Amino acid sequence: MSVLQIDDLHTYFDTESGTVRAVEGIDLTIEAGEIVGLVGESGSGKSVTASSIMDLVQHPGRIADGTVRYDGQDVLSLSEDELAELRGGEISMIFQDPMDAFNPTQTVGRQLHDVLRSHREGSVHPLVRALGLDHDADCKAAVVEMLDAVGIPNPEARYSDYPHEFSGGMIQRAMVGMALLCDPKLVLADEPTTGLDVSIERQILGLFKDLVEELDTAVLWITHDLSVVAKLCDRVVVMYAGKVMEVGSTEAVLSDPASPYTQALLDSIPRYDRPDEEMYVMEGDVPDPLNRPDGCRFADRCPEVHDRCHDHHPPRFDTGDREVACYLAEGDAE
Amino acid sequence: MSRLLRYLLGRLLWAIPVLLGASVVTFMIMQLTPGDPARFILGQRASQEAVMELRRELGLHQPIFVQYVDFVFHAAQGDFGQSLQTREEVTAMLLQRIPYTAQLSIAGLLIAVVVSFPVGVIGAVREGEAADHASRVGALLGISTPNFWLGLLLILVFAVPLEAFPIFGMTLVTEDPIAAVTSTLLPAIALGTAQAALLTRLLRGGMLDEMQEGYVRTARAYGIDNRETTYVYVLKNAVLPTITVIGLQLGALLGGAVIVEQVFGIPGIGRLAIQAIFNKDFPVIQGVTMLVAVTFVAANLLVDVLYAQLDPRIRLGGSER
Repeated sequence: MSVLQIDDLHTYFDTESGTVRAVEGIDLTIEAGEIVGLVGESGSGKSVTASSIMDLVQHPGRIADGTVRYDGQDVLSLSEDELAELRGGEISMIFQDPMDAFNPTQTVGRQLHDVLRSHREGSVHPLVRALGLDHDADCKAAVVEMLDAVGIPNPEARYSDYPHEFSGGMIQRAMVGMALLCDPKLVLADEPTTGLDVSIERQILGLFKDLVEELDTAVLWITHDLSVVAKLCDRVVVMYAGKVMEVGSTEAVLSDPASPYTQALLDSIPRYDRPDEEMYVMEGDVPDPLNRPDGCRFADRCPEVHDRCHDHHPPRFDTGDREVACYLAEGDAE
Repeated sequence: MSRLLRYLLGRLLWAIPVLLGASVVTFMIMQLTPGDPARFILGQRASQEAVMELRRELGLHQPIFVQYVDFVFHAAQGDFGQSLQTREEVTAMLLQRIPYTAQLSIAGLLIAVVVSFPVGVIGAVREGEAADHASRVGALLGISTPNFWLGLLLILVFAVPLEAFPIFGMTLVTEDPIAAVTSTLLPAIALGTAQAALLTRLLRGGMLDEMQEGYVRTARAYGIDNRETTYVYVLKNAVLPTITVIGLQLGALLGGAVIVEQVFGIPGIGRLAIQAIFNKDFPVIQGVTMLVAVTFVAANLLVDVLYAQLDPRIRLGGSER
C-alpha cells in the first residue's frame, strides 16, 4: 500500500471575483522510502496540494473533489481530533518561510518541545502545557538532540533562543528539525532549501537522504529548483496551472522531457558552461487563475501547439516510463 | 549594570525633556491668560498699590525667564506655591485629592480590562457569529456613549432607587472597603465603558490579525491543540499592542475622570482642576497640569518596561548578538 495516494484532487478558492481553481485533478502516489519532487512555477498549485494532503486548506479555500489516502485511510473524512494526531505526528510539513512559521514570542526550543509533547502518550491538558507547567526533561533532551542532528551548533544554548535570534539558515534547520521530531512517515517539504546557501542546502539534502534510508520515510519535495530534484528525487511530478503535465522517474523526465512544458522549464535554467548563449525566456505568462483556458493550460505558451490543444486539456498518456499530459505523446502511449 | 536597569535609566532620561516641555506649557498658562492675574484676584475696585503689591508677591514683576526658572526650580521639589483662593499649599491640596482620582481611574481601568478581554476574545473566536455581532454593537454603543450622560443614567437607574449605591461622593478603600466598592462602582462604570469598548475592538482586531500569522498555521499543521494556540499564544501576541494603548489612553481616562468626578461629586483632582479654572487659581492649575503630565510619563514608562518584558523582540534595547 502506498503511504500517500491522491486521486483526482480539486482544491478551489472562492474569492469575490470568482472561483480560483488552484488544483484541478491531481493524481499522485508516494511509496515508503521514496522522495518525490513536485515542481512547477509559482502559482502552479504546489503548496495548495501540500496543504490539501493534511486537510489544512482554510476558508475561502475548499477541497471540492477527490480523495487523499494516507496509509489507506481517507484523510478528508477524519475528525479534527484524528487529524490533530496525524498532523505533526505521522505527517509533517516544512513551510516555505520558516521565520514566519515560528511564534516570535516563544523560544524555538519550547516550540519544538510543545510539538513533541502534544504527540506523546499521557498528554496533559493543553492549557497546563501552555502555561509552561509540564516542562518535560525527556522531551527537552530529544529536542536538543534533534537541533544537533540538523546541524545547529551549540544546541543546548540555542534551545532558549527566540526565532529572531536565529539566522535564516538556522531557523530553516530548526524547521526541518521540527518536522522530523516525531519520526513521521511522510514529510511534505515546501521549498525547504530555498534561500539557503549551497553548503547548507547540501547538508539538508544529505539529512533527508539519510532519513529515507534509515526510517523508510516518504517525502514530497516541493521546489522550482530542478537541480535539487536531480540530486534528490526518485520521481518527479511537473505541475502547471493546477494540472499535472508529466510524471515519471527523475532520470527519464529530466534527461528526455516529453512535455513541452518540462522542456521549457529545463531550457530556462541558465547554463554556466555556455555563458555566451542567450538565456531562454518562456514566452507569455502563467494563465490568469480566474480565467484559465478550456484547452491545454500551456497551449498559449507552447512552441509546439496544435489546433486541438485549444479544445480540451489532454488526458495523461502512459508511455511506459512516465505519464504525459500532451497530445504529442499520444502516439507513444501504450 | 543589568540590562533592565540600563534600559530604565535610558527611558528616565527621555522623560526629562518631555517633562520640561510640559513645564513650559504649564508655566505659560498664567502668562497667556488675558488680563492681569493680580487685578483679577483682587477685583476691579482694588487700588493700584494693592495690585502692585500682589504682583510683587507673586513674582509677576520679574522678567519672564526668571519667573520660569523659579517655577521649574520649585516644581522640581514638588512646590507649586499657595492657592490664590484658599492660601493652602497646592501640593497638600493635590495629595489630599490624589487618592480619590487614583481609586476612580484604577477602578475604571479595571472594569475596562475585565469587560474587554472576554468580550474581545469571544468576538474574535466566534467571528461572524451572533456573539461577534453582539460584541461589536456593544463596543460601538460603548464608544459613542458620553460618560457624563452614562453617569447621570447610572445615578438615575441604580443610585436613586437602590440604597446600596450613594448618589454623591466616594469612600476611599482605606476608610471602608465595602463602602468604597459601592461608591466607586457606578462612577467607574461611567468612566471605564468607553475604554472597555475601545479595548474590545482592539483586542478582537488584534486576535483576528494574529490568527492569520504563520505560527498559527504551523501550530495547526503540527497537531497542537487549537485552544492552546488561541487562548495562549494568539491572545498573548494580541495583548502586546493593547498594553501600549492602555498606557496612551491614560490621558483620556484622566480627562474622563474630570467629568465623572463632577457628575458624582467626587473630591478628586478633576473637581479641583475645574474649581481652579473657574477661580483663575493659577498655582493650582499648574500643579494639576504637572501632576497629570508626570502620571502620564510614568505610566508610559511602566508600559514600555512591561512591553519589553513580554515581547522578546524588543528586549531592552536590542539583542546581545
